[in-house]
Amino acid sequence: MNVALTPFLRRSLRTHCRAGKTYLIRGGMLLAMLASVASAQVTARFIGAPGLVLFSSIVWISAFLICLGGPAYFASIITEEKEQMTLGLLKMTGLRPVSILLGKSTSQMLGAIALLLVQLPFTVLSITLGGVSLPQVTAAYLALVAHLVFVTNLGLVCSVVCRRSRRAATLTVVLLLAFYFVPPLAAAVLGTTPGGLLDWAQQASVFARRRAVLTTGFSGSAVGFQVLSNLALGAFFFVLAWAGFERFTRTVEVPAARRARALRRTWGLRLFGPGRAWKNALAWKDFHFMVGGKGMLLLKFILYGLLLGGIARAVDPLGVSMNAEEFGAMAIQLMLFIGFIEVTLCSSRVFGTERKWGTLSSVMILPKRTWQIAYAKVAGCLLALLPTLAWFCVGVGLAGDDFFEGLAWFFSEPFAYYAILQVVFFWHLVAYFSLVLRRGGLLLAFAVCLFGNWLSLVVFFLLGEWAAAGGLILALLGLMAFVHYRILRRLELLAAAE
Amino acid sequence: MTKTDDGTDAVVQVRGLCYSYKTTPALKGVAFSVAEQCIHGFVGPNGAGKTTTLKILATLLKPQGGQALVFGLDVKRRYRQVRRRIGFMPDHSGLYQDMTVFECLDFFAAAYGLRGGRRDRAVGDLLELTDMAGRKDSLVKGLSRGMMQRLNLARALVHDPDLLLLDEPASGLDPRARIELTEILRELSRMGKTVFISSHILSELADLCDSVTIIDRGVVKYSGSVRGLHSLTGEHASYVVTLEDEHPPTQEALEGLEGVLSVTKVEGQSSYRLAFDRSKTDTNAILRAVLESGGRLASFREDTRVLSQAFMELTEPGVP
Repeated sequence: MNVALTPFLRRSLRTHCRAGKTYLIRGGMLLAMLASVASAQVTARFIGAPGLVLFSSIVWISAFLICLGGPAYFASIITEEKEQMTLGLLKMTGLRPVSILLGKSTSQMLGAIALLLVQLPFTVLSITLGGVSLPQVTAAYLALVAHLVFVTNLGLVCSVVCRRSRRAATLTVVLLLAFYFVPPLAAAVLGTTPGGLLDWAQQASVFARRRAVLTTGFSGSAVGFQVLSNLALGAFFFVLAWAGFERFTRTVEVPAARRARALRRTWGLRLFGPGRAWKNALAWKDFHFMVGGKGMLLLKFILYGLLLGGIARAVDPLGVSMNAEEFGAMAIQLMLFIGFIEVTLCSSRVFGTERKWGTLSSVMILPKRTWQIAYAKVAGCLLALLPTLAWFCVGVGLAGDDFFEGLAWFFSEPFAYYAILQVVFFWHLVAYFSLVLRRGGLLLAFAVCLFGNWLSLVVFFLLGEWAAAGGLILALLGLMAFVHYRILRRLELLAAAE
Repeated sequence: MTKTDDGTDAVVQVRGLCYSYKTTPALKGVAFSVAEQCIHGFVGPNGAGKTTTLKILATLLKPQGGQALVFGLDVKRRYRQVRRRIGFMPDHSGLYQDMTVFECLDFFAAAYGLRGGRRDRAVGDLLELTDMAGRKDSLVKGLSRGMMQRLNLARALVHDPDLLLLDEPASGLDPRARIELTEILRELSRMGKTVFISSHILSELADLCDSVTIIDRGVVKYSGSVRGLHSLTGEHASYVVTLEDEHPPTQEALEGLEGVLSVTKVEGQSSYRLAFDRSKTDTNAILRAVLESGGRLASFREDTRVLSQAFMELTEPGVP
C-alpha cells in the first residue's frame, strides 16, 4: 500500500521548522516545565515526594494541552487542504484516501509527540528527585500517547466532515467535552455500579487514569483500560474518517449565496432586519453581521431566561427551593460567566473576521484614526451583551442589598482590581492573537494568563498582599497598553498586506 | 496643488519614493506625477512595485523615504484628509460577503459620513452608474467576478472622491466585463475624476489612458504620454490596416506612398502592418491611399505590438 507518509511528514517538518510559533510553543512548554519544577520545590516542603509532584504536574500539563490545543491542531488536518483548495490536487496525484488520511494525521501527531519529548529531561529529573517509579512513568506516557491518538483521530473525523477549520475545531471540542463530562454527570444523577457502562466510560478518561497511575505505590499494568479504549476509539474514528472521506470531499464547496438560516428567518421580519446603516456604521455592521443583530438579542434573552428558569426548577425536586434573593444571586453569577464567554468570543472575532474576509484594507482606508475604527467595531460587538446585561440587572434587582454587600466585600480585597484587570488583559490578548495566529489564539491567551497567574503567586509570596497587588496592577496596566498598541499596529500592517 | 512637468495641476506628485519589505527593496526612488482629470496607467511586470506604490498613495503604507503628495497633501502626515479625497479599489474583493449590494454601499456611504438624502442619492447614482440597480438585493457572495468588480468600484466611489486608485481592476475579468469596466472608467473621466489604474499589460491600457508610468524592479522607466512611448522605439509610427478581403493593389499603393518605410502582410489575414515616418506622411494620406486603391477598409488602428515592444525594451527579463 502506498501510504505516502514521507512527503507529508517532510512537508510537516519543513512547515514547523519555518514557523516561528513552533519555537514559541516549545519555549512556552519549556517555561511551563520550569514553572512545574519551581512549584514542586515549594510543594515538596509540605508534602514531600518532589519527584512525584513534579511528574504529576508534567502529566497534567500534557493531558490538558492535548485536550485544549488538540482540537485546534488536529481538526485542521483535512480542512486546511479544503480551505487552500489543495485537496483536489492531492487526490489527483493518485494517492488513496487512506494514504492521505494516514500521512497527514501521522505527521501532525508526530509534531505533537515532539512536544512531549521536550519534557523528557524533566521526567528524568523527577525520577532522580524520587517518589516516582519507572512503571508509573511508562504507564503515564502510554496513557498520554493513547489519549493523543484518540484526540488526533477525533479531530480527523471532524476535519473530514466539516468544511472549515473553525467549525471542525468547535465540533471536536463539543465531542471531547461530551466524552469527559457526560459520564460523570450521568453517574452523579443516575448512580453508577462498578463494572457498569458509566463506570467504564469514566475510566476511559486520561485524567482518571492519571490519578490512578500517580497514586503512591501504583502497581497496576502499564496498559490499562484507558489506553486500550482510547486506542480502540482512535482506530474507530480513523475508519470512520476513511469511510466518509470520499463522500465529504467529493465536491469543492462553493458557498451558496444565501444568508445563514437564523438570519434569513429573523431578517424576513422587517423589525429584525439590519435596516439602514447607523451613523456609527462600523458598529451597525458588527452588530448585525457579526453578532446576529436584533433577532439574536431577542433569542438570547429568551434562552437565558429559560436557562435561569430551568435551573430554578431543576433544583426544586432536590428539596432546594430558591427564594428571590437566591435566584437573583444565581442570575448574577451565571450572567457574569456567560458575559465572560461572550466577550471572549467577541474578542477573538472582532478583528479576526475582518482579516479572514480580507476587508481590513477597505475599513482601514476610512478617514478615521485606527483607534476610532477599532473602538467603533468593539462597540458594535458589545451590543451583543444586552440580553446578558438585562438578566444581570434583573439579578441585581432581586438580590437587593446582598449584591451590594458582596460587591463592597469584593472590592475590599486587594486582588479584586488585579483580577478584573487580568480578565480585561485576557480579552486584549485574545484579540491580539486572533490577528497574529490563524488558529489557537484563544488557547495561547489562556496559557499566557495561566503562566502570568503563576508568576503573580510568586510575587504575592515575595512582596505581601497589598504591595503585590499594587505592583501587579501597574505591570498589567503597562502590558495592556502595550498589547493595545500592538493591536492597532497589527491592524494597520494587515490592512497594508492584504 | 503642485504642478506636473508640463505645467498642469498635479493630483499625484511622487518624489524619490522608497519602500522595503524587510531587506527586499520594493521601491527605489520612484518619481512621477499625474495630471488632473486624466486616466493615468501604472504599468509594470509582476513584482515591479505597482501595488506598493498604490498602497502608499492610498495611505495604507507609510513611505520609508521620499515623498508622496496627493492633492498637495502629504500621505504620511495628512492621511485623513487624503482619504476623504481618494477612492481605493484593491486587487481583491474587500467586500462583506454576507451583505446585499445595497447594504454594502449603504454601509460604506454611512462610514464616510454621508447622511440622509445625500446618502440615498449617492447609493442610487452608483447603482445606476455601475448598472447594479437590478442586483441591489443580491448577496455579495453570489455575485460574479465582473459584478464584484463593479460593486467594488461603486464602493470606492461612494464618497465622491476626486482621485480613483485602481489596482489591476480588470484582472480575472472576461472580455465583455473588461470592455464594460473600461466604459465606466471613461465615463468617470468625463465626470472630471482622475483615474490612476495599474496593470501588468501595457496594451490593455493603451487605448484607455492619457498618460502612463512604466515601473520595473522599483524604478520608474518611463512616465509621460502614451504617444511618447512610440518615440522610444524610433521615430516611426506603426499602424495595422485590415481590409474586408484580400486586395494586393492596396499593398502596392501603400508601398508607393512617400514616407512609408515598410508594409508587411499579416500571415493568414487580410491585414497589413506598416511603418511610416511621421515627418513625411500621416494617417490621412495612408487612409486615402487605401481607399483610392479600391481596398475595402475594415479597420485602421495603431499597432499595439509597438507598445509591447517598448514595454519589453524598458523592462528587464526574469523574476525580480
